[in-house]
Amino acid sequence: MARVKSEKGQATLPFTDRAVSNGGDQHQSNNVHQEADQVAGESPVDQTSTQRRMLRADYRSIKESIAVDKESLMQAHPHTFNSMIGKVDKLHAMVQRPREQIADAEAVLDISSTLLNFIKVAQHKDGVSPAEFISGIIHSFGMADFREQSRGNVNGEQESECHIDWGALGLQATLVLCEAPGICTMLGPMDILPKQRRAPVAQRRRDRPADVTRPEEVEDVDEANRKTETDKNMEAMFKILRTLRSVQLEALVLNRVSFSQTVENIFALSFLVKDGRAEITYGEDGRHLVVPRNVPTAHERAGGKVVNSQFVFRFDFRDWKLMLESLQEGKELMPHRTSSPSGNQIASLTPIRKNSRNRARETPVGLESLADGEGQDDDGDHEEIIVSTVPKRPRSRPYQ
Amino acid sequence: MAREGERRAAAGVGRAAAAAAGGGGRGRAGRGGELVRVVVGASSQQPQQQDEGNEDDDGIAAAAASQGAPVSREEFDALVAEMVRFMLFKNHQQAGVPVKREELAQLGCKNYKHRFLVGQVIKEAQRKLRTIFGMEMKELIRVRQPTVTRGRANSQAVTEVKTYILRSTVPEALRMKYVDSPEASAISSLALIVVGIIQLAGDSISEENLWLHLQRLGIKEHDDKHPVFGNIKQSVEMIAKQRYIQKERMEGEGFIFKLAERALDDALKAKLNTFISKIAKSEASGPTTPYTPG
Repeated sequence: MARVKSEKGQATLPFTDRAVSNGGDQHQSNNVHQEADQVAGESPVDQTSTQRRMLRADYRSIKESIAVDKESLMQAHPHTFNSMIGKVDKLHAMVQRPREQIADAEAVLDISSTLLNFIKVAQHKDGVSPAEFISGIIHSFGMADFREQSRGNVNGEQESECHIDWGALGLQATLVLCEAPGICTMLGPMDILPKQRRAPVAQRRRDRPADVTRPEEVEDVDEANRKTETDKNMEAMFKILRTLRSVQLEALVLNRVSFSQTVENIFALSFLVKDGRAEITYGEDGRHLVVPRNVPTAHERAGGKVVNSQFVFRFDFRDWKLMLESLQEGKELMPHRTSSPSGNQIASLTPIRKNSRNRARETPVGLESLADGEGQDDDGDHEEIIVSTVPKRPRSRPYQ
Repeated sequence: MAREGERRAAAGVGRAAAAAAGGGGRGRAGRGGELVRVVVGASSQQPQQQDEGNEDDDGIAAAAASQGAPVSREEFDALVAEMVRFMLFKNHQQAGVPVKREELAQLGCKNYKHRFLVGQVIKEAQRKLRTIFGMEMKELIRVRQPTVTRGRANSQAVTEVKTYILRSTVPEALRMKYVDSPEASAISSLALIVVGIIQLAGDSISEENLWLHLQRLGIKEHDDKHPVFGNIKQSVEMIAKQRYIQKERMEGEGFIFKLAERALDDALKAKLNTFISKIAKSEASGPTTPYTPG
């Protein structure tokens, strides 16, 4: 379908002879002849840009219709093909510039390639095209109304709804494809493995809680109101004095079981004497007696009627042993104290450190009774404060 | 007489060993509890089947006989049963999707050192499926072309992958009567139409043209709520997975659909051509004449 140049060097129009021989549209052929004469004999009329744009738009519409109606072009409707060719011919007569020539060539290419494919298919499968196959499917398995719709839409327009008997078509498909049904007798994939039990994590052995202990009672930490052990001893002692009026000194202070408590009793008695609440006198037999007294007033102190004086009461373990022998058993007045001192008392007691190289571990003051009450040997060489020696820390020798 | 019997027994054992070594092709003993000698090789005694694969004739049998302790009958049956179950369940899990030979080999044959055990097991599994279930375990060979990435072809050569599918061998009349139902079969109709279109278009068609044809039947490309097929694109992809068709990229833009190895089978082609001819005849005979199968 290449262009053939006339002897005059002017381009002649193709399709001219075919249009005349088909006799399809004489009017069209006459117009084509007229345009050919014009092109052959006269100089072409210059087209405006608008005209060329419209021409290209026409070519585009033809290409789109070719793409959409591709199959309908190949059906048994030759008029469709001829009308398409006729349109291209008309437009081609107005082509002057290369841009429109390209559009024209593309349109001709589309039509010719479609025709070529049609011929190939027709030769390949006894003339049954995919379009005919679809038409046959619609004819055989379509519902009645769908067949009528499809007959009316030979140009391949989209049908709005599908009314194919897919079940019947599927029965035929299984006969053709011979698909085998599967069997489902288990749940899940075959390669699933049973879940492994988690390895038991060894739990930490929880230690049993410690023995049930009662929380320490919160004591009043007010220093001024806090009663010391000595105060308690003083009160107890004074109660005894108030009750018995005159008691023997040894009977008042002695604790037959504990030497340390005896010392504490003496300590408490000393405070009572200092305060003027107790008096130590002599009896007729020369024994020491303790009698209660009222606290001297400030007037009496100021008047000099009451004077403080001191004396040393030496008392060691030997003396305590002698006191044990001198006093009849059961005559002790002060009760034996068994409870351990409270935390506050312990905190208040600070160990007494000696300024000596031999830094022995010393029992805090007031806690001697605890140490005394438990397995203390009765050796009389012990001093008042029980100390325990620790091995001397060796000096670090210089590197040699 | 006893000595004679002993000599004959010894000779029989020797003959059996020699036969195995020489590729006599003797199969396995038929009774339970006996050893199964995995003998592979083309011999006149065993019918040649296409599914044997790449086994040679003589040297292979000798190698098989020398590979150690033979597989017992029970073990062999267990392997076969496992393979049969695997094929059936896979066919249900992914209907129609081919099963790779590698997957079959991993079922249990990997525990054995026999190189050709897989082939023997497959062969026996095929026999069982055919006789018991009426299914054919058909072998398909998929050819993988080297991919072209960034203008350069891969160094890998063309590879062949063996896969297996199940096809029904039940006669059509019995199938129509006892097996198939319209509801369960409807899903297969799309595959038939697509394969038919591609075959009539010269075994390949552009994606655009395919959708043009399908649109006439009310099947749209982007439809995901079709009353029968649901998501159309996924249905077409499933057909490609089943190896009826394959999608390839064109040189320019777009894709083309071609027939895959499953649709290139002669038996299927013949049946499809018969179906197409009947459809064409029914349409040509008149607008009121319905399609008559058979």
